[in-house]
Amino acid sequence: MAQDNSQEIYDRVKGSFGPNAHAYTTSQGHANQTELEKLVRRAAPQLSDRLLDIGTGAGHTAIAFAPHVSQVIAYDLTPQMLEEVLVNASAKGITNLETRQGAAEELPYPDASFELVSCRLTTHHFADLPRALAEMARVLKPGGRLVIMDTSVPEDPELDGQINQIEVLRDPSHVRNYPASEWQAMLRKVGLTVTFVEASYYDEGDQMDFGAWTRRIGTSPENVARLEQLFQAAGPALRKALRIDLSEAGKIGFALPRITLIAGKAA
Amino acid sequence: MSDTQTPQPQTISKELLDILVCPLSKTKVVLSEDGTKLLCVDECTDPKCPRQYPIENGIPKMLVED
Repeated sequence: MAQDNSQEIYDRVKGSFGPNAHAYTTSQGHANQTELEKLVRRAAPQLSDRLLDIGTGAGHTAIAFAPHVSQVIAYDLTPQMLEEVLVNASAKGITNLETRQGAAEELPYPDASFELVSCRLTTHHFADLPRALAEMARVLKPGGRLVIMDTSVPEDPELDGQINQIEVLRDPSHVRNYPASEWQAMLRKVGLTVTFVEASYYDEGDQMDFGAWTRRIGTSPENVARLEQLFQAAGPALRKALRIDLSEAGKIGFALPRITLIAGKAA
Repeated sequence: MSDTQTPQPQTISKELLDILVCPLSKTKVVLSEDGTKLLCVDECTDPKCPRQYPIENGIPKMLVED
């Protein structure tokens, strides 16, 4: 096991996502085709490439890459998500995708197996991200690329703590959102060279909908109430960092900081 | 999963089966005769290895659980 508490984290992830698998097919942010196409273009896949999509969820990223590569493996801890992937891939006529169940920290592949490894909106659930990144670097072929996109936090430790606290209240399987500096240090440590970094916002269109965000993962009513209090009482720095908008009565608008990174393995 | 759609069990390609290894020892796994699981070979000496990984609904479960 990756860490002493990794089994507990795996169980929490499966508990959060298993019953809510279909909500991730329809989630506006996860299924955002414009963002997915942009990510695929940035990764510059070749038709001969083999891709491993780790923490594939409903398979949006795996399916977006599939027409541009030779083979795709959609990999996830939660079996219900993988069944969702098969339905979604079939609906789009994708025939070069297969699913595998497993943990990011223990990849069932030999060294140098993939030209591309992707991980979108999922690394914040990993029990041991440094170990998962070491595994990703290991299974990349020389010259291969790792594509990461996930929610992030500002460099300020106080905001980092506050935003991660909000995320855990919303979803107990959340482990951590990382600031850009930590991302770059972790990727360097596993021998990858960061070639692209972009800070932006995960905003599901114009603004995230607090109700949809908490319903999708089945946040408990008590925690929804606590989150509403936290958003309403947020100080200026947190309001700015999350773009909290309380201008419309009865509605909480916000956006989560997001980071995109591409890191290469030396040829 | 949606209420109306049930996925067909996936067909596992030989090429993608051949590259699977034990997630712990990274040694080779082989398909059992009845095709229901992947078996670790003798070279795998990891004490935590379950020695076999089931294939459920066509999905190889390459997971080590306590």
